[in-house]
Amino acid sequence: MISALTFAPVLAALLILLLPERWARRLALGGALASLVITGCLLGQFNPSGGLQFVEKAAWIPALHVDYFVGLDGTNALVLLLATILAPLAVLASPAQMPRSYYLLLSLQFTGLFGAFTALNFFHWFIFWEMALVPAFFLIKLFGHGEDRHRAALSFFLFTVLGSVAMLLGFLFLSNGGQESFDFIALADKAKSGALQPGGWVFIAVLAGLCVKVPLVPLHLWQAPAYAAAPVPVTMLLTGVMSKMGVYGFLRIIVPIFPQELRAHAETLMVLALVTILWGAFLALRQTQLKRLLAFSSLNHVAFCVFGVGVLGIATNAGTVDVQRLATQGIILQMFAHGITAAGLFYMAGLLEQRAGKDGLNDFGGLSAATPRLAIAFYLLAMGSLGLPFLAGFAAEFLIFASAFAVAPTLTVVATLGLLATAVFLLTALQRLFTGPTPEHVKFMPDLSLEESLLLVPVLALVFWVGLIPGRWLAFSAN
Amino acid sequence: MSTEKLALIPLLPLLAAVLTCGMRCGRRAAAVAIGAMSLSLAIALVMLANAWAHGGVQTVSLADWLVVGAAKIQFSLLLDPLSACMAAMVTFVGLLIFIYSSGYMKDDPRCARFFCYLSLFAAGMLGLVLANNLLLLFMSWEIVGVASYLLIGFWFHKPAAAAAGKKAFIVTRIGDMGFLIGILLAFTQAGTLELFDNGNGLLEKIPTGVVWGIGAAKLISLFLFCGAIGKSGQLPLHVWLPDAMEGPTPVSALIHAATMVAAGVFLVARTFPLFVEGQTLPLVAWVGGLTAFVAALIALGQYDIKRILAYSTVSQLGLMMVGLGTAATGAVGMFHLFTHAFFKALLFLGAGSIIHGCHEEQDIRRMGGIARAMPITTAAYLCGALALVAFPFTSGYFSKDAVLISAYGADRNLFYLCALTSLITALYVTRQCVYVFIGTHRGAQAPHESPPVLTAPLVILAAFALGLGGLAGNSLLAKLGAKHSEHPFAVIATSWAVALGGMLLGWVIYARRDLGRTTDPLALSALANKFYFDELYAATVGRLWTALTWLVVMLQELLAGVCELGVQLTQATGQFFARSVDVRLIDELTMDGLARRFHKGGEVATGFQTGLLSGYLRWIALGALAVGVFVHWLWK
Repeated sequence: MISALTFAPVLAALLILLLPERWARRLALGGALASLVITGCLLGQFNPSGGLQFVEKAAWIPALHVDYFVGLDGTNALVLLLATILAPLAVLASPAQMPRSYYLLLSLQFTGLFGAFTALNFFHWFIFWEMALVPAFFLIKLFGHGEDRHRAALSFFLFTVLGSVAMLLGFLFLSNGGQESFDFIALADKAKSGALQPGGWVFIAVLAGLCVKVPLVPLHLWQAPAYAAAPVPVTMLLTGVMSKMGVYGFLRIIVPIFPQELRAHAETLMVLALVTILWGAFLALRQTQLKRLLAFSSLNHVAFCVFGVGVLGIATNAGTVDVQRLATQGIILQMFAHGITAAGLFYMAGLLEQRAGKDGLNDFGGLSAATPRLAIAFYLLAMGSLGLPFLAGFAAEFLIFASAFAVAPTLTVVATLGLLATAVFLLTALQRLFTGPTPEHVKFMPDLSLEESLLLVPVLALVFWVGLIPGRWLAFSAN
Repeated sequence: MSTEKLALIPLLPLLAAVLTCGMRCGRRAAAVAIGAMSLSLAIALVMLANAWAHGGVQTVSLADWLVVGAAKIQFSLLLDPLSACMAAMVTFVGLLIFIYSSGYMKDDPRCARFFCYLSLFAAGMLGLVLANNLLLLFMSWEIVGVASYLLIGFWFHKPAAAAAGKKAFIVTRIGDMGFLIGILLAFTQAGTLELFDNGNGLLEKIPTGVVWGIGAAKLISLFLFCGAIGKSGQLPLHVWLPDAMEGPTPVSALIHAATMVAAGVFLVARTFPLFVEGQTLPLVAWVGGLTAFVAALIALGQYDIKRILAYSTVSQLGLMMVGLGTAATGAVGMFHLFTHAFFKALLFLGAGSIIHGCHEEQDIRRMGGIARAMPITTAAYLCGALALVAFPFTSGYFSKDAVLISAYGADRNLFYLCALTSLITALYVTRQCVYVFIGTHRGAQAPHESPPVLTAPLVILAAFALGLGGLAGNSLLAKLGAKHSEHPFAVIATSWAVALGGMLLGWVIYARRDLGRTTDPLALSALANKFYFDELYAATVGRLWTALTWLVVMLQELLAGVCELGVQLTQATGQFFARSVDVRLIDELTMDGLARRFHKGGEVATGFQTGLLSGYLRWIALGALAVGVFVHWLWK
């Protein structure tokens, strides 16, 4: 089943090549929806305390100990759901007149993302990881906005490829040149029993690969240009899903396979995450372009997840609260909440840009009067993003903060400065876009159309659902 | 009615908020919101009777919100005299303000949205006062904050309103971050955030751990107090409250006088055992005392009728903090909170009625002579003013006396500060009333009395402003757990003297003055400019913040430069390989070059192939000769 959901978009891609161009959009949507439906069915039967489920395992390259090995457990269930929810939304968010090649690349990217979240063997996990990257590069370069897109695509590609190469070398070293298993689960078991001593350099190589994807300062430089230049649906995927690949990598690889190295460097990692949190927040304060502002806001939000990973490294002496569990659950929920919220915000930034032809914060004003429905949706998502209780982000941030405070109170106190700055830049953006007198050129800007509203309804519903009943979503990662 | 129904008190306004958010008709939305609020009030009154009879703490668990391992965050509510009184006060004052709003906002095209926000606010506020879980309290607290943000910026087309909403949100959020840290501390130290839980709650089993070398209770109470400072507009975070007056007047009455700003005071009273255990009460008292004094002084220098009341609110909130900080229980501070809620809501609604009657004029220099034009409003307003001054036997007199007595017993310096504050209070109230009500009208258009929908709530509130303290004061104090205390003669004498003396002084200064034309002797520039707090913050915190942002931007630019260099280098390397190596060396020199040479060779060879027999023979002969010479040379 997992293979079916992973490769459904590839099937769609093949059909897009074969069938007439006017069907391309529907085929891409069909592939993505098929994946979503299968994921929904799987999660419906998912047993949170059942460990690894829906496993498919087959020998692939026995000489190298490489198996095709996929499965779902508490760590990847929710992120897979996030990816499969955002995939059809990304297709729907695409402008209608996009050519065949666009939908082809998009579908291939879906498979890369789904595969990276379900693979349990490094070998094909890495193939999927790269597979998500290459279409993104072409999508930015061929279909992006502005002259900057070539450079943005190039720097995106360079950063991620260099990170990937580092990670690949690390794993080659770890598997002793293919003599040992590449299997994540087997590696984790070995690490637990102490039979695996990867050493600091391997850890740093793998870490670098993941930090580029998340990203963490100073490996984040590709992010803002890429998010701003990419077509909006691709940005939705980049921030909503691809940044989560990095965080997921931390949970799947760093935490179980490198426990000692993580413990040794946990505080460094937390400081790095903290710097990223503040870095993103303070840079967002200075942006005049909505999409760049949202990009730095994402930098800030996703870094909270890595902050939590640092907590997992330190938390050995649990006091009154179960720090490990709080942090793990918080990270996973934060990925989900941020993915949904950020994708929705970028989508609306795209709508504004599409309508006005520009996306400077100062190019608008008084939009509450001109486009009231869009204003409501934007306010709700912005509030969700700044961590308003009863909306998606709050529960996750509380869990991460609670666990972090138990092990590193001082760093956590500094991190609240990030929450404050988030409020400042988001409210400033709201103020500039939606309040004040309405200038002439936006006075007759169309409000959300029915289609656009329909796309935002599931996003808003999820934001409320996760905020009001986080327990339902936390249940997936309960063990 | 069982305590299970407690949840309906916040849920009914929430339902109203959901129902009204999509409505277009303002009147229908008002009806829904008022109906929900009336039901909430009815339930709250039943609960009040229940709490009065029971006396202790009753808790209700509604649902688990978050369960992670052993950690559990519940939606749970609690009923005790404190929460019951607060719920009854909020629903009652809220209902009156809702009714008033239905008249005040009836011509606004977004009236339905206004009631949606108001209902959302009421839901949050009621959740806040009834919460038995510190996190639920915080969550409601944030909802209240966001509703306040939306309501202050309700007229979003006014840039000042939008800016004021943002300022309110951000300044209170500074305090909220402290609150959050306090919650995290409590959670990690106690493992629970339930306030009362059969002896295991946070307030029943005070955490005893040590963090950063300081006792947990002390730290938790200090951080919680940060939240209270932000929400209740205490020094140094009071700067948002006067700006919040940009919102519609009913909002000022509901949120920035009666309920939300009192949330900070309520928080201290709710978590009082932590403050007692942590010995942080003197700090609470002194922050309150200084705030009360400074804000009262600033109120003297203001000309905007609502801003005077705003600073007065800050000042009175400070007195409530004094009441909390100097007593052994939260009763005294809370008593002043209750009486203040009624008379300050009355004053704000009265101000709204005056502003309405004066054709949206807010500057007291362009008022005057209102008493004759608006008799009902004037009479009601004066009742509120007397209560604010603590004129003997009004409700404000009883509650402020309680604060003064408590301060007298705890710290004599604080008592003097409070007495001085009371004197200034009487002075600025008299100044405002003389400006507004006496003499001839100085505005452009003649003022007119407001319709009954506006004045009826005023009359009801006026009755409470006069009577509440005397009639219900003692039982309220007793139920809230006040220890019986002596009434020292010195305190009573001081109290009478400052109230009457202040009024007399104000009368002497202002009654015979040609107001509005001559300069005001007390509106010194330092006071009119609010002691330059905003400017001070802009110059210090604002600068620091900007510098920090600038630093990060510079570092980012630097890194981006390095990265750019890398990209350029890659591009250059790529181009080097593409142009020099690939095109020149491999293509031109090696591959194409060889091919070309072969081609050339072929062309040359083609030249020989003429098809003429004589030519071929010539070449054969030459070839044979060459072979002969070569063989000869070899053999030699």
